[in-house]
Amino acid sequence: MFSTFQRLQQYCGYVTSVVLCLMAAISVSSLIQQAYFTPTPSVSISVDNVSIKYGKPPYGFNYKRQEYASMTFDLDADLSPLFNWNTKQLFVYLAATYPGKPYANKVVIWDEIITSKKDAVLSLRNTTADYVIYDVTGKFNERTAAVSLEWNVQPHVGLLTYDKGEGRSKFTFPPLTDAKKN
Amino acid sequence: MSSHLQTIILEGSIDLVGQQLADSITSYYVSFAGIIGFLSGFISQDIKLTVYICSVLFTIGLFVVVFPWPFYKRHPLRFLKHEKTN
Repeated sequence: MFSTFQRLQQYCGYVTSVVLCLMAAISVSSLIQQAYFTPTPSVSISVDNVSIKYGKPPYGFNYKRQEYASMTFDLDADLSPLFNWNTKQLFVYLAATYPGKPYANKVVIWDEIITSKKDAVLSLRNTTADYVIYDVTGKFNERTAAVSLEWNVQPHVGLLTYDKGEGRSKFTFPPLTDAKKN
Repeated sequence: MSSHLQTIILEGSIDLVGQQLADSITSYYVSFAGIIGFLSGFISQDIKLTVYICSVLFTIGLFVVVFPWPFYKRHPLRFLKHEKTN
């Protein structure tokens, strides 16, 4: 601490240490807050108007003509409890899970980025899903899918956390009625 | 003039008691500023407040610690007088 530059260096070094500790404290405190002091958000989903078409899906790298499913849904969710002081934004998505061989399938049908607490109350009516579902086998065979709301909490400082809502909705892929089948 | 300024500001030497004082000010003040920033942000649930408070307090501390203020020079070393040997 004898000369100006020694003091500058020592001061900046200590400030860096304190900032690191501060960031660790913010990250740990917000994780604790999220795990123990945040009520589970209420979610209700209902999927309807599931329709199956035959053809090339409207997007993707799949050039095969096959069955694809589009749908509309109603969604009510209050995600505002997830916003604490360390939440930058939420990535919210609806995931449809249905059985398959050798692994079960999980497909995202709708997603949204929520950046502020006042936008976190979702109330969607008769909304068309953003993405269609197409299966790797090309056929759905009237399997049953469960749709649940899942989200990532993206913090300013710390770890990205994954979670999902309690409510889920089930639907069965209807049989293909299109005349152009085969 | 320029060499005088260089000695005062750029070299900025302070005495031993002043060095100890600068060291304690650094550790106590910066830790205190970090705690204040954390608590204010946590209570108001706003991380921007933490960023603003910490940056302002850290900048104030930088000016207090780095420059060779007179209160760092109140205990100058007294050297013994040179003895004539012949």
